[in-house]
Amino acid sequence: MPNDQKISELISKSLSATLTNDQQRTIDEKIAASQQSRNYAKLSKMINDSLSDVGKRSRDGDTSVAPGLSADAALRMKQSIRLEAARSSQFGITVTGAAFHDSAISSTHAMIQQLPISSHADERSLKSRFTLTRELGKGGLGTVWLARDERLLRSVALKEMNADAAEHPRAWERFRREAEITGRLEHPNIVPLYQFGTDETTGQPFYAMRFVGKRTLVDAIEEYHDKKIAGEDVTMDLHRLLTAFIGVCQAIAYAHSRGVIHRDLKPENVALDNFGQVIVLDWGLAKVNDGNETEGHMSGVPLSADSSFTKTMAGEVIGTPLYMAPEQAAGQLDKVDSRTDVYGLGAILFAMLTASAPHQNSSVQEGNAVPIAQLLKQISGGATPRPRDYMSGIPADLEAICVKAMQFKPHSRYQSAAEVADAVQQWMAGRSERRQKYSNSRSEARELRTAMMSAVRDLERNVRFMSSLPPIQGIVNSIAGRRDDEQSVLRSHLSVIFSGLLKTNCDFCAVSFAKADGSKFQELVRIERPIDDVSNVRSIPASRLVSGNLTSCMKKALAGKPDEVFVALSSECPDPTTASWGKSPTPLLAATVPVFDDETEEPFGFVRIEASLERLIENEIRGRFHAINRLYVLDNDCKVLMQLDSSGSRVKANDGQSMSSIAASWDSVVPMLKLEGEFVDNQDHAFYATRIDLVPGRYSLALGLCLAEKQTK
Amino acid sequence: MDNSNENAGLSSSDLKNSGSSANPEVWVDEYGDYLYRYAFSRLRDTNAAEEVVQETFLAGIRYRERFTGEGAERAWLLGILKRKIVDHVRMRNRYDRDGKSDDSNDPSSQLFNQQGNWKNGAFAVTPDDQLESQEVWEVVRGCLSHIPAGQADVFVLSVMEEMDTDQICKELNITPANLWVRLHRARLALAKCVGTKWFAEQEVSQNA
Repeated sequence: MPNDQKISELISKSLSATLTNDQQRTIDEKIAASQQSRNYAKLSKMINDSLSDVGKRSRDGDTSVAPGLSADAALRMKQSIRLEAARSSQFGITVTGAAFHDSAISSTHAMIQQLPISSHADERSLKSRFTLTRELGKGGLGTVWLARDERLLRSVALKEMNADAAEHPRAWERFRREAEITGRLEHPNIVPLYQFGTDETTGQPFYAMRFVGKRTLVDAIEEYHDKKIAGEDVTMDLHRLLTAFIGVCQAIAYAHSRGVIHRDLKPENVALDNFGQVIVLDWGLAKVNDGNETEGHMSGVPLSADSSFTKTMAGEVIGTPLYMAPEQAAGQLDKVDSRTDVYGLGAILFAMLTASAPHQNSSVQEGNAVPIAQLLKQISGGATPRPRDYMSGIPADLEAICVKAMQFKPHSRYQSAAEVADAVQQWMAGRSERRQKYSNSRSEARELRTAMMSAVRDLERNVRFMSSLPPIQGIVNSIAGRRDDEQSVLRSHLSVIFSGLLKTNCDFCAVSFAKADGSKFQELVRIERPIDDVSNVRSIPASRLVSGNLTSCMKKALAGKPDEVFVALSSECPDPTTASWGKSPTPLLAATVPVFDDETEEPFGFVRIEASLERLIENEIRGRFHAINRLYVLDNDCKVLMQLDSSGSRVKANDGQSMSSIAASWDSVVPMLKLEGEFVDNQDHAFYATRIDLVPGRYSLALGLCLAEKQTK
Repeated sequence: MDNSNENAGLSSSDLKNSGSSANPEVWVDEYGDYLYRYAFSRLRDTNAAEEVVQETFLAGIRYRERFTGEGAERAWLLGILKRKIVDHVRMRNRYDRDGKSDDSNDPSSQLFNQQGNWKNGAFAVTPDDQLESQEVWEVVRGCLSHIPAGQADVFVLSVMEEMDTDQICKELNITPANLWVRLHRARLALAKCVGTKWFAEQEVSQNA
């Protein structure tokens, strides 16, 4: 027998669908046996019936199902109905941009007669509606005016066909098509068309659309780059530009879904207002691509007509080869499809990143403008322009999006405008996450720097403390013959203390006390950790203690004042006592402090601690870093001392290698490290480096963190 | 959702109004309450109901030429309204899905124990057969606004609007499996809510 839950599902199902006999029997049995199931079935049925009943009653006009319309709402509705009805009765059914969408375009002719426009110089006004204020711009096909809509008391942009263009029959088709296409595209990022009509006197067509101001993407790009050059923080400006770019992509994706290809994408054709609104303008070169619902109305003009027209309207068409896709430049109109706009989107992104048009470099040769025909030839056969050839410091991933969108072969590009938008959106989302991770890793690296420096201070403190131990002076006195204390007893005391120190500091390799005499030294006590058995600590018997010439480091330490610790790397002064460690590639960090005879106040010798730099780093680094892909610790010569992978495990493959041979970009990092102490990758947030001054002025480590998957080259 | 086939429940007054599209302004007085009640009982939200009714009127003006005059004007407008209601539900659904998933709102855990059997008292009270349909509706309407909109909406479209599974799935772009889950959860949650409310009201009236 199924459980109650299964039964409840069957009961639910029985109310919307027919059950099998078996299922019905199961329910019946269960309902007979279980009060709760019976209650649920009953309640569910009751609710179902109630809803179904109200559904019917509300259709029948039963007033008890809900309260009626409030008086306020009724008033509001009447007002909006009045407005809408007034508009529609004035101009028939084709008044607004939406009208192009809703109604048959074939009614355009009817409308033209209904919308007379008078033409008297610059002070003309459409009798019923528009007053021209000033000219905004003039193209080969038409002139755009700022105009006043007297009926709705608002500014509009009004485009009318130029008189000379009007002599060309194709221009009429083109103009009408432009209006139709624009009117048909209803999208928040596409300029909305209000009205299409004809001038009463000249008989030339015009259309009115929303006035979107004069600011375009060109201005925004210029502003961004000016700020960038001035060294201001442009993070938000780039973010805004990219957000606008995504708006453009979405408008184009929408147009593509309606079978319309823009074919003239460039920053000049994207208007921006101060409230983040992005509007794609100028659909004058747009092509209707396929045969869905647009076909009947828009592809009345065959494509071949376009090419003949472009010849006469050359100024307009080749006004923008700087952003043109190769297939367009080659005149292969049959190959122009939505991916041509993908190229155009890439070209806009290109302009955002570099402040230059993609074909800018090709358009100038030896300081002279290249003839258009030659430029078009270059574009149609040339390689994809790369943003980095125009400007450095462009985020690599963003550049990759741009380059992919602008591939020479359409099939290598993103296959849709939406894909371009997605890629940029992903980059933006990833960037903030990356930036957070980067900032975290940067803090972690700075903490490590502090910890490493304080580890060296600890080393100094320890060696100072060891030199102040009573057995040290005891041995000094004993050697000077001032006391009778058994030297071997004192030495064994000292050995015990030294051993204790070594046992508690696993990065320490040896602690020793030596006597210096002229240019020679003689070890008196030495405790060390065998290289092959780090858990062990051994005392060196007197017979094996080392003596020899003072090394330069020992001399420097002996020249110091009491308690003055001299820290040096083993590589600075090779030392016979560290012979057992000599084969290890790991440098040792030695802290030496002079010991004075308390009686004579003359230098007697020194105490020294040698620590393994590698272990010291390992101790400090453990568990400190999260979310890194690779970590490098480099020695003073920028050779790899230690390398950790993303899981924090040692990778020894590159130990001892120069960093330049591993990452080509390293050479550009070094000057920053020397100058600033750290290298911050603000563009890609992929690499961070900092300098750790272990022995200030003489020995520094460098720490390099790779955060991205790949090393940026 | 074809606007021309909505002839159920025509009254003589409907037929009288047939073809009176000359003055859309009278629509508000003539059909405002009717359309609003219809919309409100489906959408359960004053603003939403007003919005779809207004849109219906405006669309009515734009498409006036399509109204052939055959059949009632009220039924014609109702046809448009039904379309607008579905559009509204779709928008609300899409928005809601972005915010919180309805799939996570499963009332089962409150009703069933781990073995999948009723918890004690899940449906302890036997509903009263003698209830007035209006009384039931008042309680159901209250409960509809307490369950997740994504569940309530499919329930309303399915039961009140009598849309079939395929239609709902297509309009809301959801799978049939998801639709069944939502319907079942709506039924469970509604039954629970109605049962509880009813029980509480009974207690109150008994104590009074």
